[in-house]
Formats: sequence, C-alpha cells, structure tokens
Amino acid sequence: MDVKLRNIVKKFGKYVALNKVSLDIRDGELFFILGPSGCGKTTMLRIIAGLYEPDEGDIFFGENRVNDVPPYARNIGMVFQNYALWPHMTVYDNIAYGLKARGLSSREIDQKVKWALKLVRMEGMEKKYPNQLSGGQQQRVALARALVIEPDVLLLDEPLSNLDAKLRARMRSELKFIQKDLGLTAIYVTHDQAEALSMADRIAVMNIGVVEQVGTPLEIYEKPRTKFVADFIGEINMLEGVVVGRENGLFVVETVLGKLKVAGEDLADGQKVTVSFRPENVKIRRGKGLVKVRDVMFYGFYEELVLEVGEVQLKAFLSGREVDVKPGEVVSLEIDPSSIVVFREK
Amino acid sequence: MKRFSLGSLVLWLATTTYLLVFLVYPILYVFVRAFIVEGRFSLAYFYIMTGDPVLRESIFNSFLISTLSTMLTVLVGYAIAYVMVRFDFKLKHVFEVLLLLPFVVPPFVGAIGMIQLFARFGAVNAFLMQLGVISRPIDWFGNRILGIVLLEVLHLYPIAYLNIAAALSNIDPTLEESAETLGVKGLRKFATVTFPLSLPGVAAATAIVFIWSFTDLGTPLMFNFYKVVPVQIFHMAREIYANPMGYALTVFVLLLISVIFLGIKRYATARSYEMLGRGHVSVRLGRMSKTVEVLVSVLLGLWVFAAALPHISVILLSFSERWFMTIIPSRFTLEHYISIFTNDLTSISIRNSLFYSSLATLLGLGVGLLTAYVANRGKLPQTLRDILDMLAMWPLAVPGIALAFGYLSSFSDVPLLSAYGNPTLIIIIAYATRRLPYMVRTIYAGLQQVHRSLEEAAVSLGSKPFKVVMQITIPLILANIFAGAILVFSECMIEVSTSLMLALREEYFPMTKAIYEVSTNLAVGPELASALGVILMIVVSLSMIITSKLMGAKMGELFRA
Ligand SMILES: Nc1ncnc2c1ncn2[C@@H]1O[C@H](COP(=O)(O)OP(=O)(O)O)[C@@H](O)[C@H]1O
Ligand SMILES: [Mg+2]
Repeated sequence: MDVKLRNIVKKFGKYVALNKVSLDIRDGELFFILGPSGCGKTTMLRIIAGLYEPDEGDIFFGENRVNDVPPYARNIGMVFQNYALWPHMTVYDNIAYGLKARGLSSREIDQKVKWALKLVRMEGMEKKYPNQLSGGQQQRVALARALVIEPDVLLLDEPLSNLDAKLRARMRSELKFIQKDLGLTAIYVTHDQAEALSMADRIAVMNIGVVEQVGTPLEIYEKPRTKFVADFIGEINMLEGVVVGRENGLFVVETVLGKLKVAGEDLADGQKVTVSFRPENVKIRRGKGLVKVRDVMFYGFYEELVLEVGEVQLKAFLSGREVDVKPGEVVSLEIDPSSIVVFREK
Repeated sequence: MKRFSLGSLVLWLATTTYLLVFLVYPILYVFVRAFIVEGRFSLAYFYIMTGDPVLRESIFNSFLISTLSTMLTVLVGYAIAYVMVRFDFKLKHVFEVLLLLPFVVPPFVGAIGMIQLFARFGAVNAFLMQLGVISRPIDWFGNRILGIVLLEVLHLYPIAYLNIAAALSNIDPTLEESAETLGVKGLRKFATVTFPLSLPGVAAATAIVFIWSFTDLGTPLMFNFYKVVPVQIFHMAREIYANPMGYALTVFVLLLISVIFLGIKRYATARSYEMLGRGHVSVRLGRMSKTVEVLVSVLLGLWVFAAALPHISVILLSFSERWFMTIIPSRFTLEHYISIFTNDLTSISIRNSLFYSSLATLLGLGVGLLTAYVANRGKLPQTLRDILDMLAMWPLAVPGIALAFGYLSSFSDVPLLSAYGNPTLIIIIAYATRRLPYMVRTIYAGLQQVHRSLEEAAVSLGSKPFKVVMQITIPLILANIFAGAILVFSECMIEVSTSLMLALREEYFPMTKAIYEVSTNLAVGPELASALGVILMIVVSLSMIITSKLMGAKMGELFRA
C-alpha cells in the first residue's frame, strides 16, 4: 500500500512541529525518516498512525484519504520505541491481541501466532511475560505483534534504539529481511544515519519540522541538496568561497585552499558559496603546500588526518597506508571536482 | 563515609524503643490477653464471640457496612479518577480542589449534619413536601446502615480517587495506543488494557476504604447504632476488668486487617509491573463533546455538592436558632459560638484539644524527625533501618480503636499512662503515634530532595555530623517539617477513635469527644456540636491550605497507600 502525505502541518500550541510536509512512500518499500532528535519524526509517524490529527494537510493510504479514519481502523502495525508490550499479558496473548479483535477463530489465531513467533525466531516463548524477556526479545515480540495482523503499513519508531550495539547490527539485517520477505510497506523512523543508510530503500531527511531531501541512500550521501543534509549525513568538510570564473565547463572557486574546480550549474562570478567534500575524497600530496597536518589518528582500516589551513580545520580519511605523513608536516590537497558539492550563499 | 556510627545506633535504639513500648507492646498485650486464659493458651473467648448473638450481628453489620461502602466508594472513585486523569474540560482544575473537600472534616461531624438533613422534620423532607413529591415526612434513616454507608462513601471517595488516579496516570500511554493501532477501541480497550493495568490502584483503594469503614467508630456512634464491631469495642473498653471479650474482638479486627493487607500486598506485588521504559509521549487528553462536558461537569458538581451537604448542614446548624420543617433555618443566631466558649464542657474541650494536639505535634515531630533521619540516612546496617521504617509505618495499619484499646488495657496500672487516672499523657502519645507515619513521610519527602552530597560537602569541609544536620539538613527540609507539623496538628484536632476511648471524664474531653457528648445530651446539643465542628473544619482547612502550599504536588502522595 503506498502512503502519501500532502502539506501536513502539526502544531503543539504555538510550536510548529511539522510545517507543510509532503511525502510519497511507495508500495513495498522500506522508507526511512531520518533526522536529529526533536525534529518531528515521531510526530510524523503518529500522524500516519492516526494517533495525532494533523492541523492541515491530507494523508492517503492508496487512494483513500484517511484523515478521519481512527487508528484502530487503519490496519497498521506499529512498533513503539519502548515496545509498549502489555506487562499483564503473556507473549502469546500480546501477539494474539490484534487477531482476537479481528474476530478470528482460536485455531486461526493459534496458527498465526505460531507463524509470527517463528518469523521473529521466538518459538517456545509463548508463556513468558514481557518482564521475563531481554530487550532484544521484547523487541521481537513487539515486531511479531505488529506483523501478525498483516498490516497494510508497518510503522517503526526507533525500534532498535534501546538495544546494545551488537544486537542492533544483527537486528538491522533481520528486520530488512523480514520486510522484504513479506513485501511490506514499512516506514522506519530513526536518528541513526548508519541505520538509515544501511537499510533504507529511500530516506527522507528531516530538519526541524521540514523534509530537506528525499532520495536513495547513495543520492543522499553523494548529492546532498542542502548544507543541513550534507552535515547531518556522514562527515564532511566545508569551506567558504567565491566564484571567480569558469574553466572547461567547471567553475573556479577561490577558497583558503586556493582555487578549486567544482561542478555546478549556473553560478555567476562573484557568487558566494560553500564548498563541501567528504574526507574520503581528499587526496594528499606530500611536500610544499598550504595545509599543515595537526594530527594523525589510526582507526585500523583507515586513518584520519586532522588538517589545518589558515583558521580552518579539515579532515581527510586515508584508506590503506597510501601516504606516510607525520604531524607537523606541510602538505597539499587534491580533490576530484565531481566529488565536490557546492551550496550557494546569499 | 563510615557505614556505622554509634550516634546512629543510639538514635535507632531510642526511636525503636518508643515504637516498641507504645505500638508493639500494647498490641501484643491485647493478643496475649485474648489467647491466654487462666495461664493457658485458649480460644475460649473466640468461641464465646462466635456464639454471642449481639457480637455475631455486630460483625455481620460491620462487614455489611464496609463491603457496601468499599464497593460504592471504589466505583465512584474510579469513575471520577478516569474522568479527571483522561479528559480535559473547562472546570477540571476547579474540581481538582473541590473533590478533596471531604478531607476537611471527620465523617462523624458530617453525621450531625446528615441526621439534621434527613431527620423526620428535617430539610430534605421539608424540601420534598414543598415540591409536593411526598405528603408525609419519610423516616429516611429507619435503616441506619444506609446512613452510615452514605457518610462513609461521601467521606472516603477522595482516597479511592487519589489512589486510582495515581495508578491510571502511571499507565504508559503507548500501551493503550498500541491496542488502538491493532484495531481495538473503547470499552474493549478499557477492559483488556486500561483496567487490568490500573488494578494495583484499585487494590490499594479497596484495602484502605474497607479498613477505614470497618473500624470507624465515630459515625455509627452518632447514628446511635451500636451493633457494629468498633462500638462494641468502645463499650467493652469501659469494662475491661469485668469483660474480656474486648481483647478477642480487637484481635479479630487486627487479624482481619493483617489478612487484607497481606492479601493486597501479595496481589499488588504480583501485579506491579516494571513499566518497561516509558514511551516519551505525553498523554493525549481526551476531549469531550459539549454535551458530554456539560453532563460530566453537572454530575461532578452534584457529587461534590452531595459530599459537601453534610458539612453545609453542619455550618447552617451552627448558626441556626430555629430549623424545623424548613429547607434552611428560619432564624439565625451567633449564640452557639458564644456558648461553646462559656459552656464548661465545650470550653474546656477546646483548651484540651489545643493542648493535646500541640504537645502531640511536638512529640511526633521529635520522634518523626529522628525516625526519618535514622531510617533514611543513619549509618547503620540496612536491616536495622528497614525495621525502624516498617515500625514507623505500622500505625497506618493499626486502627485507632485497636490502639486505644491496647493503651487502655496494657497501661491501666501504670502511673501517668493509665487512662483511668489523668489521661493527658496517654492521649498525647496516642495522637503522636497514630500520626507518626504522616510526619515521617513528609520529612522523608524532604530528605529525598536533599542530596547526600550536600551533607558530604559539609563533612568534607570539616564539620561534625551533628552540626551538619543542624546547619545543612534541617534548614533544607524546614518546609517539610513545618508542613508535617501542621498536618499532624490538624489531624490530632480531629482525631476521633482514641479521643472517644481514652478521654473518660469530662474535664479531659477533647473537642471530638465533646461533640459526641454534647450532640447526644443537651437540648441545643446538635447546634453546639456543630459550632465546635465548624471550628474544626476551619482549623483543618487552614492547615490543608498551608501544607499544600508548602508541599506542592507531593501533598496527594501523603494520602496514598
Ligand atoms: N504531545 C506533544 N505536546 C507538545 N509538544 C510535543 C508533543 N509531541 C512532540 N512535541 C514536540 O514536537 C517536537 C518534535 O517531537 P518528536 O516528533 O517527538 O521528535 P523526534 O521524534 O524527531 O525526536 C519536539 O520539540 C517536541 O517537544
Ligand atoms: Mg521520537
């Protein structure tokens, strides 16, 4: 089932939590909503679930406008950040709950619960109570409870944020596998960019109350459309500069690093810009240059160089042991024009 | 810091000894006298008890009264709590205050007003006859049990409401939301999720209300209804030398209460779920349609009015010169307020009450401070601190009639402490001991806010522990100490059961006993009693206002289980 949001506005008192947000989520896709804490992700998910009413805008499930459909009639499965398992019910009863509400026979319920337990690899845990389970197990039960009703849309609010790092990594691939296996439309909220980049079909990156960019992980990473996205996803170097001319279809920008060639559209001479590039796209040339190596940090499969030019600090990631530089050395940098993203300043 | 100090141990011994002498010993004494007959263990008194028709009927009546009261109270309390916790409506904050009004007066004072209202020639009959609904006065309290139940419910519903409201607001909202997303709404959601999760609050409310109404002495006395357990104990207390049945009956009450407490505790432990990390979503307060909002406000208003009615009636009565077959008094006067200061019995009682309550507050303050400090901060093994803490909370589970009966009997031959001589000291001790848990809780609440590091900082700068307590801790919790003191003072002023049982001669009567005596004995009795009652209402209301200002949101917690 595809889900469409059109110009959604949500206010809490005077505070505008969502400001004209529109999204198109396609059938069968694992769609991520990614953004810093407090930017309105949960609010958006709860609006899709029907737990909040938007102040303006429309929500469509398929062709149907569902603004006035209450949550219990939307046929969604939601996994809450705190799992929200009912402490007074066994694992079995937790999972069977939505099925009972749908009036299934106890034989059907039994079959489906068993199926769901198997899906999340929790067979044999039926009789346990939530407080007898570990965090990871609770997470699986919450997932099973949401899946067992065969929802049109699966909503997940930071489902892995309460798990430790190891378990989180494992659950990522499991979750993705289950979603693809069932062909579910899933909307997944997180503040963890690694989670989003590694799992998503597409990502919507949010800044306070607005969506800044929607795209595949690769697009978001390589072609950030705003400075916010560039900064929020991964690591990036930013330099101020001024366009000073053109050369072979590229623009020339004057920065503290000297003249940089960048790709871009329609930049007038004298235009103030911010030039950004990822640390892994920086190449180091030893010997004379403007850039001083402040520090070299070894991380196993790569090294991080802390660089300084003028007042500005930059980073470079070097994989392997390409160049052997020492702190205090002076070097020059080389950056492929196609890996540079330019943002216009006013 | 050291884990053990001699000073702490001395304080522990002092407070524990106090509690052993004035709480454990009297109760033990009653048990021993109930079970040991002529030097041997025997259940003889209990056989007599179950065989005696009056006692059997009393026990039956008490169960009937407390069961009915509990059911109604919890039902009403739940409905009120649900509306107040889950919905937003215009008058909500007004009702938050109004709903707690019944706290200001013990129900037996309300009984005077209630009896006046529903008397054969009282206001209700007058009102109904004016409306033409009835032609002849109805004898409303022909069945006094109903009157007693009504008063208990009107007095106790705030306790049920507060306990259940606490449980309801403790429920993580996402637990209900997840039910909604799975397709469940309304009554079914309530029955499968909300209600089961609120049961700990219901259990607490049930226990408190049941025990309260089972052991309430004042209300049935005012209705002249003697065939209930507390009144039987009250009468037996006057003849403990001749009739040992009082011991058996008191033991019966204590055992019943223990069973209820243990049962509830086991139940609550089995049912108290660690809420697994609360979803950080604030509760969506339901909105009501205009009609429902009006309806709810009217119902709550009517209920508050009903609860206030006995008290309103007491106030009217205290100013009335003539109130016969009319809705409100036909002539008003201030005479009764002058009389209470000129009449020997009442004027002495005012003086006595002030004296007893002040000294009891001081005593309670001393014991309470030491107890709270040693139990919370003492440098002692945890077990010792737990024992003290448990002992200090125990008075909550010992009804006034049982404590008073224990004091009367166990100290009957002890000079100064015998209620048959001059009961001043024993009354003060009874008051202080009964209210000790309030005192300790308020001080606890303060101590919890004073982080240990503040004290440790002072110690690290070279202060002696005692100095630290005086210079750092006490000033920081002064507001709590003050709040506790005022609360205890006003609770002592309206203490009923121990007052009725321990003050045996007129010159030692406190106000509550004077109210009882006056209302039943003199010609203008109810009016004089009402005037005394109004004074009590004022004292308690003022103290509630001051305490809540000092304690803020913590106030409600004092009245929870
Ligand atoms: N029920 C609410 N009442 C008032 N403000 C809220 C409510 N829910 C969220 N907010 C505010 O809206 C903003 C977005 O919240 P949320 O959607 O929970 O952020 P996120 O999930 O991205 O961390 C925050 O500033 C939060 O304080
Ligand atoms: Mg969130």
